[in-house]
Amino acid sequence: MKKNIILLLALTFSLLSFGVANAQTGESIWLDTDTTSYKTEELVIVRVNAASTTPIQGFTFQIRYDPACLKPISASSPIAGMNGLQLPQSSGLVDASFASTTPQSALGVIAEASFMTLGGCQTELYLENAALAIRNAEGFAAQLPGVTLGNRNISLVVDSVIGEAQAQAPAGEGLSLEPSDPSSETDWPAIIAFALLILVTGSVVTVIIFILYKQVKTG
Amino acid sequence: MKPKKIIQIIGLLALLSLLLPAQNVSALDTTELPPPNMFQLPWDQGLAWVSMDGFDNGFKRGWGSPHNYLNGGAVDFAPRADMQIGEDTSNFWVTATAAGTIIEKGICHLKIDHHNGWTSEYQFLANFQVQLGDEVYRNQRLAIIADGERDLFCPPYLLPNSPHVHYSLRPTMVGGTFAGWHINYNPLLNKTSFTKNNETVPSFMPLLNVPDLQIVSRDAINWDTVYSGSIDAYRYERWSLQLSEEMNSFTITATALTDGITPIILLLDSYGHELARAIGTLNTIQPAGNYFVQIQPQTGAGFYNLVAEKSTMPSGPYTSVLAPSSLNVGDVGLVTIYLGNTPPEGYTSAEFMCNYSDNLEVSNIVVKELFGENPAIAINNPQNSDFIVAIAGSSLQRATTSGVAFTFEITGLSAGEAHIECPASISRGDGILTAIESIGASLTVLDSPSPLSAESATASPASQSNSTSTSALTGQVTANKPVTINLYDTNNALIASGFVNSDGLFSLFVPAGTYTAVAEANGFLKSQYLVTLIEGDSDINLNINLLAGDIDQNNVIDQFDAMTIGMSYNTSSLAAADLNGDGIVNILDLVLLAENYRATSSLVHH
Repeated sequence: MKKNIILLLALTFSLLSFGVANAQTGESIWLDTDTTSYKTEELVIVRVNAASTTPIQGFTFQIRYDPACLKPISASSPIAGMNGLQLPQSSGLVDASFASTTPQSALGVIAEASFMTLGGCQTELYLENAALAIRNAEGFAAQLPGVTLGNRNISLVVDSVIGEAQAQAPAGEGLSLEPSDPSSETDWPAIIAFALLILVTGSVVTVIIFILYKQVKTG
Repeated sequence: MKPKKIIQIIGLLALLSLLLPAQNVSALDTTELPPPNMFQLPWDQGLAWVSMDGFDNGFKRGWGSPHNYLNGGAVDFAPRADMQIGEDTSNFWVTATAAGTIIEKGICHLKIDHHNGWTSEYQFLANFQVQLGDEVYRNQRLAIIADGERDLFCPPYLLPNSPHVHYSLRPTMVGGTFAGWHINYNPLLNKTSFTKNNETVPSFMPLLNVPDLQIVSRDAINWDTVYSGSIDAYRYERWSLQLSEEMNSFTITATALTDGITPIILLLDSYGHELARAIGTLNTIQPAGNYFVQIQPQTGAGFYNLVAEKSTMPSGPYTSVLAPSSLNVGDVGLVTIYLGNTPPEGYTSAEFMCNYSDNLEVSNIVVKELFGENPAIAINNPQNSDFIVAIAGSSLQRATTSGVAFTFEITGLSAGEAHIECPASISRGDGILTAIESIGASLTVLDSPSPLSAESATASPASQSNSTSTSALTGQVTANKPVTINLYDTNNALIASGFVNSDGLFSLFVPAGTYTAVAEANGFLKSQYLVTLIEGDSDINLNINLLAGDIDQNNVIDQFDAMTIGMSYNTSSLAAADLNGDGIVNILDLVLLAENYRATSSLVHH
């Protein structure tokens, strides 16, 4: 009996150790997703998780992606009061930061980043950097020390078959992740106006040429 | 060609012509545009407001609206984009965009005639500070913007829906420039934007009201005539002055007419080089020539009166001392000794017995060729505040015209008033020395830097010690927070430190050498320059644009700076995060940070 109890305790301890190891040890940040296989034009939602015993007032993460395979859509935080800070985005790197005026618990999902699949490809999402932030005595955001990065890679397989449109959007207030290169920003009203101008001018020229042609032909 | 077809072609051409105004808005006749440096934006200099609404093409408002670009256009400005009816607007001052006369005053509006064909109009005002007929200077506070609750916008009308000033300039403000911001308008898209220093911002973005320096040319000055003018931190006035006599002793007086303004008088030569400066009254003696009198404020802005009065010069032979009217401790100035009213028969020799105050040091005495080539010279070197210079023409040469006998340099040793006099005795070749009338010069030796200067940076005492010659590091800094300039030597020791004044100007006076100049402001990225000041060479002028966003001062504008804004959102608890200085940390601060995101501080070699 005693032997059985010892065996049971040993088994429980080893199972507990295994479980803790999977759920990241200490204060950490890691990525996960529900599935890794997608079709084209489907929404990929990546969760950014954190385990921190210290309440935080902000966090930041940068996820490297292949812009030929994925288009970043938005990021949001399910934590109440954690607001997205819109900052310029570079192509190939999601750069998201959130902050709150009051300390918040950070256990579990702290943010969700969504991407749209663009075509058939195999790619990886890589958590390049991430940090939890507290407000220091001077009032500045400061990195919470001792936070490790857990699972940083998510491999995705995207089929070239077009999938079903998904209406699912991450919870919370969205942060646009579209790369913001001001020089290449599309000014649709200007493009439409220019296209109209070209259309009208082209029509006028065509009419004038037609009239001249008729003149020459009849003359 | 059949008439029907001609009508068709005319119709098509008419259709095409409809597109033409859109192409031509930015190509208005330049004579219709306001002078680029004349107008500022209609609020206090140094503050940033936003535009709430711009020009219109008839799409949003009626064709008769002042906002319509064909009517000259109008722009609505407000201190913030999120102004609320009833909020305290008592410190949101609307100012005159240029000097002029109040020609209309209504319950809620004002109109100013700027005297050169331009009129500006301001609407939705309260708490007026001016009366009909008043002369106003640029940046003069006219009224506050009505809050819409205690002071209705424009009774009995309820519009607009948030406190702002409706501003227009006529004949037109389309394509105009205000405080350096050029107003762009695309009638096709009905879009107004503002461009300054290659930066274009749309509506609801901060527009900092800092005009470029404007030096306005005024009339020629006649003696004993009172002239009036107006100046501000970015607007100086320059009057011309012609001196026809061989030597001219005169006094220029600038009297403040507006409370709080202290005018500085600068006497400039015809090339614009400064000869002398003083606050209030400038006494000087100058030879014949063309000069400028520049009036600029040491503090404040407003009106002044200017009068120039000629003093009597001796009718007989005289000697006069021409010296700078002020000198900083450690600075070197040139003094000229002039022999005037020299008779045609001339002088064979002259002896000058000079004395000077003990807070000056004299050096480098150089005799000129007034007595011909290779004159005989005897100099009793400076000692106990005296020195003697004797000059005699050689080979029967003599001084037959008036002119400069010799020059010397003075160095300011300690602050205080100083006087230099060089009484002279001349000989006509009869072996008799005859004393002639002498005109001395007074000057002020100032603790560096000069309180007369527009700059307010100060050099530490260490920077002044052991230096016989100083160089000036001057410049202008763009930032809407107080800026400190620190100068470090190659051992990273702080040599001089000072603040940038309200005009964004600074100057530091230090010995020649290599330094690192660091410009710092709370919440802004440090700007560092490696500068080498060479003795006797031209001074270095830095133009520094500090980037907003390095709130934690770690030399990079990063996510943690952004998160600091998020953590202090809608509060005023952290001044460093209030990047635009409007008293609250909000989206406008995040926008400023985002413009400079990922920027780092680096050392620029100058």
